[in-house]
Amino acid sequence: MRPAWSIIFFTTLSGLGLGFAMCLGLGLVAPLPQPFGIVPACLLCMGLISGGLVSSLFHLGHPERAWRAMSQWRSSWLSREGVLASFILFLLLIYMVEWWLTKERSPVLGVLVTITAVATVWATAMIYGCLKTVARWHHPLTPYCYLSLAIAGGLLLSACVDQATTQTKTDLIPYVALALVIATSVKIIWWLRAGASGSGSTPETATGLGSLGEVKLMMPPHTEENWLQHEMHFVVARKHTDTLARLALIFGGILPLILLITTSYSVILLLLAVLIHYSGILIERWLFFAEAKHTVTLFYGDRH
Amino acid sequence: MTMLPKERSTGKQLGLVIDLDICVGCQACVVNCKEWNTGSEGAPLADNNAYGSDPVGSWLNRVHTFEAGKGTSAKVVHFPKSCLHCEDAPCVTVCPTGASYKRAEDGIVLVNEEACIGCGLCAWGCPYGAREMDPAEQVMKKCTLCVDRIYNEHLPEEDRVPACVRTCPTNARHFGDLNDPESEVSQMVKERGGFDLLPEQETKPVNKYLPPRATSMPPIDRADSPPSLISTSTESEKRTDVPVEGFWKWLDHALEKI
Repeated sequence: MRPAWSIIFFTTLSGLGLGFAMCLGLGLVAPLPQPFGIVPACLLCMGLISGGLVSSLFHLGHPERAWRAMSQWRSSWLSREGVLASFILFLLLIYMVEWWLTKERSPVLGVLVTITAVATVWATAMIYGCLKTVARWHHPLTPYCYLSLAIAGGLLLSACVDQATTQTKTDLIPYVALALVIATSVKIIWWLRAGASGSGSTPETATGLGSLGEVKLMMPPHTEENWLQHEMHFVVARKHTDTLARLALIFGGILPLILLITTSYSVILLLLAVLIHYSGILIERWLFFAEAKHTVTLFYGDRH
Repeated sequence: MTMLPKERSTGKQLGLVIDLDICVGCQACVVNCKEWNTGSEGAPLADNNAYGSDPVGSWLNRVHTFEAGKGTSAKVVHFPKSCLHCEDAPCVTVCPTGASYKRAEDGIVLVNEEACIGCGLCAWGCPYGAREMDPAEQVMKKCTLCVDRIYNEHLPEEDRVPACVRTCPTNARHFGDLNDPESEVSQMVKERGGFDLLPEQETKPVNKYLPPRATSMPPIDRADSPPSLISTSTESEKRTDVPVEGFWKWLDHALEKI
């Protein structure tokens, strides 16, 4: 599948924001002293989530009709994502205002924020995970990849924000390290398992001509590339995918981990770790799309 | 509403039966489909840069040509493909707006272009490549089974079939109710062993394909039998799709060095 920047920024920015929301909901981030309190952290979180949503609008042919996408939550994961993402922005706003005005965190609202954030990341992943047409996305581990990466990114950002707002050393570092190790491991297992999983679909099953022998495309239906091929027939050389996968793991997991271990609780270094982690996730997400093979390409001479 | 109709296995399921034995790949169905649907309800089927160097356009029906088998027993099969109006249509259930729907009364899968946001997810969900984004309107286009012909009382009786069926000069395309075991199309499927495309995708397509008949001439397998007409390295393998300008060219070289 052709990687679209609008979708890459949608899933990564909102993923980071939602991971951060999970931590805010659990009260892991210390609020600034009044008059600002928890407001800046919550605004940053809402900014990341809405940034992702705005980015997703650039993928639409008719963004002015995007509100319609909230209606089909009973069957469509994309619709569920839209509903949940809007709901969590609303929840975060109430959580923030309540916390700010009463100077007391509401644990009930907090848990609700965390649960909704988990559900939203799950819905984002299932937009792709529910598609049987792309075997590697349809793998049961796909939503766990999105979730573990969101949690790792969110915790890392929480540690950075927490360090910036407290005088003492943040106590989140061990949890961030653990989350990074888990997320990196889940992603590696996904690469090994989902990458190897096939749909069982071939040009023979696509055409139903398997009984005659091997099926090959002799003439495409047209001389020029069509929209289907442009959208779904994206080929990236194997040598590049291997290198990019390694870069994604190094930037997304290993380098932030090294920075965490060697960091002397410096906000600047933690911020650097967040940025490096995010750039790794950008590569990971680009590959998520670029490596995906769609069954449509079986009709255009591909064999998966 | 993107929920699939509940009583679907009892109702009418209109669809096509395509005979791969007699399709000659003349592309008449492709052209007539485009011609009828570009002038019908909804936005026209656009072509951008139609006479330029890289034209793109949306088409609802396309004919591929495959070679099946090897050597002298190989067959060339012309393979028309349009929406298969699946019973368990994944394109319908993934639609976030309800623009994609399957009609309970006749099983036709349609797009309400007024509600389509052009997200393209339905095309990702369709295993067959039956849906194409209109390059000008930015809404999803697909075969309507010529819903504006088949019930159109202003047309003479014989024209109340999809444009592709009406125009096929070899009678390779047939239209009817696939849920009625007595219908001509159902009988044809039964007699000829009609099959589903990509059955493992579990979409339960309504459209069926009839296999090429066995050749009357026994295949000759000789040592000097001609090789396949198609070279083994396909076009897709040659493509790398790595943009070769500026930053991307640098990145491409940089990645090769790592």
